[in-house]
Amino acid sequence: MNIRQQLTQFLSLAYVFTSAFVIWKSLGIITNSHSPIVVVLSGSMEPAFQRGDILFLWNRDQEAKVGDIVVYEIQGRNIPIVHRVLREHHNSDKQLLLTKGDNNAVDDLGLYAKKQKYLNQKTDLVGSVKAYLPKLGYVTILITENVYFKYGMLGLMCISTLLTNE
Amino acid sequence: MSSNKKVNLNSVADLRQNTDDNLPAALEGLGYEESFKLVDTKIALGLSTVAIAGGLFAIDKKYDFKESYWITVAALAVYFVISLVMLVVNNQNKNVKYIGYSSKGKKITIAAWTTKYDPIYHVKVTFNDDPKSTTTAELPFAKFFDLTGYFSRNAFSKLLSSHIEKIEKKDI
Repeated sequence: MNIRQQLTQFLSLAYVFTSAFVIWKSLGIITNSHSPIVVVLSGSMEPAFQRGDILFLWNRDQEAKVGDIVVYEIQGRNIPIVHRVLREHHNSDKQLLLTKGDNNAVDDLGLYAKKQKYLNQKTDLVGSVKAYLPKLGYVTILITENVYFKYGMLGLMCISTLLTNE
Repeated sequence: MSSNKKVNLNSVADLRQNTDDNLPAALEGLGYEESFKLVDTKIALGLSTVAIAGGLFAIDKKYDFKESYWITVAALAVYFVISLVMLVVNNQNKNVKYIGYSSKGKKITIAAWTTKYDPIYHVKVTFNDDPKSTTTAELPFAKFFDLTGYFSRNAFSKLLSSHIEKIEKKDI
């Protein structure tokens, strides 16, 4: 067999994955966020955001304002939460935030870690929401929550790569 | 490597692919030896970008975002520089399918392409990287694929050699 041809074929397949991953990492560096695009998983921000909306984040703001919608993660739990800033306190080097979901009856104190009273704007935020696409992210919810859909998609992808020559 | 595969005669892309695959064998018959320098460079560049992306993935799994921020920036910078080099190399050698040397050390570069709907194999031949020696030919696929879709190496070699010899004569 021709090793060069095989390597070239392997590369064109590998590019599909590597380029997607590199674009994702670049976006992360540009926005200074480990997860620059997130999908809304809960209805706690209705009617502003519904389950399945895609949010684009930016994490290079110096301060968050009251009324901004931010995404944060509680240490030890890797689920990003999208809520609105209800209260903020800041001095020259630090800003503390209290958040609340528009559709929740109470603020987020109960969601924070034990003894945590505020979010630190510098360390706890994943980013603040700058743009969104409605509903398109529902595909990822289907993939993570529905096993049949997941394997169905994988199967379809395999078949399509087998059937296309170039 | 010549592949004796039956080709779908209705697909220009398949016809071109198959002809590309047969170019080295045809030129070997004409006394040229293939040079793999360009292909090897491309593969090496490609593999290094894939390696960087793989390394980034490992770092991403092992360390969190803030710990790995600067190494990620560095890796991405290297990745984009290599990608840019690849882009330039590919652009300068657009459609190049074969580079070889004759026994006398004369370099031949063959670029080939097709348009979307015409079953014609466009060939551009350059000798010794001299743009003045460049000539193009249009070889209809019908002349070197038989009715059932098999590639005929003899017919193709004859077409190609008559074209190359024409230039060589003009050259002298």
